[in-house]
Amino acid sequence: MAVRVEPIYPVPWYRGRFASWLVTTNHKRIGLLYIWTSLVFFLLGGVMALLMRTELLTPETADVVSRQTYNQLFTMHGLTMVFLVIVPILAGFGNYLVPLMIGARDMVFPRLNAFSYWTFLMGGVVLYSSWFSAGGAADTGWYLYPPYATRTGTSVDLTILGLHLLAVSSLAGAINFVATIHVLRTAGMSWMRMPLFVWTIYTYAWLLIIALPSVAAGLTMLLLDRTAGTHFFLPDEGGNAVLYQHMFWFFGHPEVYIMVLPAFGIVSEVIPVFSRKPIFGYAAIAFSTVGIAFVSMLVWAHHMFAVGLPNVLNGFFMIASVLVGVPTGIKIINWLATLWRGNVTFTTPMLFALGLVSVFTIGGLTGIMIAAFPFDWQVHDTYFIVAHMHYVLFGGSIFGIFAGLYYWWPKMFGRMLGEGLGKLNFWLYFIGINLTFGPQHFLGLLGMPRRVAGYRDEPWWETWNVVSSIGSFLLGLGTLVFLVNVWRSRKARRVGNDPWLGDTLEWYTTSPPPEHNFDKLPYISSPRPLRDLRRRLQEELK
Amino acid sequence: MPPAVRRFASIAGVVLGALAFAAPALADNAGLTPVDPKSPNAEAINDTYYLLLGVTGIVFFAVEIALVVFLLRYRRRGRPVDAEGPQIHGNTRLEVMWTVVPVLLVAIVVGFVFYKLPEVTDVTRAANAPADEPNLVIDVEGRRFYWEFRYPDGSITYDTMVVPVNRTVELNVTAPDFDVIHSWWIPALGGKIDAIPGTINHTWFRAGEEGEYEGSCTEFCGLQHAEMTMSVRAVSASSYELELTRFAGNGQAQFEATCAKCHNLRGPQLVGPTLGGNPTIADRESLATLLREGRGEMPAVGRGWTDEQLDTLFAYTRRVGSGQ
Repeated sequence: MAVRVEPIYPVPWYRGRFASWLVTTNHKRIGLLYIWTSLVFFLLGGVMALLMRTELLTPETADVVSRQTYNQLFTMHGLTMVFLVIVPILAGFGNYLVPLMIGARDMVFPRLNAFSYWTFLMGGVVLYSSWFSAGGAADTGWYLYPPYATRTGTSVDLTILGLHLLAVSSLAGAINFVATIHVLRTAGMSWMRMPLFVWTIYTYAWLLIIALPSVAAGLTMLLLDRTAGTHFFLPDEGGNAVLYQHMFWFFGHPEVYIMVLPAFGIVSEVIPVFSRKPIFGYAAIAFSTVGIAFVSMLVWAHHMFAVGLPNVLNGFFMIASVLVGVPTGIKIINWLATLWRGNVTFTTPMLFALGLVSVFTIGGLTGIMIAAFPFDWQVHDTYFIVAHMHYVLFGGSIFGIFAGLYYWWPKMFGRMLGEGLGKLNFWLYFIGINLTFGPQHFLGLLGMPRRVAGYRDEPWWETWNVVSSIGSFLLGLGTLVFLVNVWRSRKARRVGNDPWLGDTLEWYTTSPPPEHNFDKLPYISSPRPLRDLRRRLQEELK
Repeated sequence: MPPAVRRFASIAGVVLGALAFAAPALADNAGLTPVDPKSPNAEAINDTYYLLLGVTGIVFFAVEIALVVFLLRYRRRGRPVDAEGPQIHGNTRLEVMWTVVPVLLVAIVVGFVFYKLPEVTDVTRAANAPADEPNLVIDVEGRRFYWEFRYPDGSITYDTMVVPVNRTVELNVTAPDFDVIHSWWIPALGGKIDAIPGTINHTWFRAGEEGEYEGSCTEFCGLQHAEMTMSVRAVSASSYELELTRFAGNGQAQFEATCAKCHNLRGPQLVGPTLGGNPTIADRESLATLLREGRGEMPAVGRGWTDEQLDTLFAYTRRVGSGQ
């Protein structure tokens, strides 16, 4: 006869299986909430991209989705990938890993951390609720330029509200990262012994703090123009439409580095581990991160070369923009030097990291090309820019994020993602990105503008569009493979603390780590505490 | 197949596949270079492109070749997973070197751009242009979703700009205060410039050959942005006047630019209702009201038009609209 044993102390509701996630202030749980939520939005943004690529299979307008829907799709695709996928998933990695990497018990403001996540989720819900509003989702492009954004009938107000919530969330999160990294580093963890990923999250956080107020102000002025009868940006009432562009891009360009620097940080963690070498030029990589961040605040008007600024200004912004290439080049060459004479193991995270080095290089170099403003006059707002920007954000950010997912999955869940499916995922992505975005360079040079649901029937335009769409379907397939891999990892073999022979402190604790992270910590005497421990152990065993 | 053969076969397959695309792609410009330039400013931009392609191409191949070589050379090959490579933490001299070299490369890029810039921006005249012949100055107005061109003699054309070949054309580009931002761009005739409400921007071109040069609006402007295409029709100096009169004051051309992108005259509904038999287009007053004020999704296509512009359109719509 079965005996039902009642617990002596009833479990309070907030310890329940679901409720505990709602009230959690633990950095690892919040990190996972960020990552899962961002992955859901990644799927939604990806579906929108595939719908657009399907529409572009033929030159005819509106054969798959209506014109209006198409305009809403590219707007929401951009907003989703920037604000609901890349920035928050990096916040998720930062949340999960920064305290572990610096040997802290949690973030310094755990409740603020929970606030950040829930505000982010709310922002995403508000943004997506615009699909169901009277006007439908915004059709303005993710940048919401006035005067168009004040003349469209779509729901720009809800979009602005969503973006405000997301900005508040990011600001609170960024302040939390900066404070945590300043005050919670464990004994011996000096600035120059911090993992490079922590350096990039530190820079990411400062950039958010500096850049977000500008776009928040711009969006507020836009909202007032729309609803309160002001005319900051309305030329027919004496306003200036270009002013908004300055305010938007003063945020918008640092935003690119916000999205890509932590991905570089992930690569700087992964490549040394799978080369069994220290990172080549730790200080150069750390300071080039800060250098990129600094210069990134002086380049915003390279998005505005066609608005008719004086060429003195265009020249200044060109010089500042090409200078970004210098610290970026340093990083790429240092990664290559890290491989040199290493013991290179092609695990899935390593493949994604190497894929980033290979593919991001293209995006970086086309970035130098379009910084040359007379050439930008030719390709601005064409598919050349779409290609450039996706080589940076897919080839840079998303490849880095996938390297991170495969690398830290065993730490987060105590089980590996499958290597076989992982490699299939990588190759589908690697081939897919080049097929999708490579030909878009050609389309841009041939004169195909962005943000069109149909195009002129000229030689090669349809060919390259079809190639590009086929590539995008491979990317979709790669994403499905990733999902299958995630599903199957529930039953995968359990792993110990340190399945990859990692270098940094997160591998010192169990997988997944206990709520308080560490029982005790070694004194940190180098950027690679785990390798120091392994060596000491070997010497003692001798 | 043995692995070596299989590997060779797959590499050969990829190379052949690439060649199959590359051969025709090189034969007619498939997008490896910008559209053939037909104007001096576009030629200068094209030169800039080749320099940029050269500099970035060198860096691209250096990085990718180093990457592939290192990966082949230093892959694990049976070594134990935990076998370490030499613990090299950096090398100041090397790192200084690969900071200085990129600085030099970007200095070359910047230097060349400034060297070529005057050719792009300075308005020049054809070498054989008569001294007393002024440049042709055309006012360009971007509107949702058509382009309006005003010539010095008062003629107006829509979407098609008629110019004499080998004569410098200066453009004053803008959009009406009540409209949105558009962008003027004919790829073969130079870079783009935004048409911004409340601002007048300037650009120029000089078509070197007769022909029809196509372009599109390149700043997203709304529902029919994709249809907002335009062309420059470069004709010989002798036939210029005649050609201009063919387009100026032509109600059908005006209708096609300003109405037909959204409305069919017969047949199924396009974006807006089909116009054939619609009483509005047969009545001058209601047509004027509709065009000057817009309705619902329809922008105020004719706001700011002169009576003459309206009359030209009305003469056409009355004729074709009522004839069932």
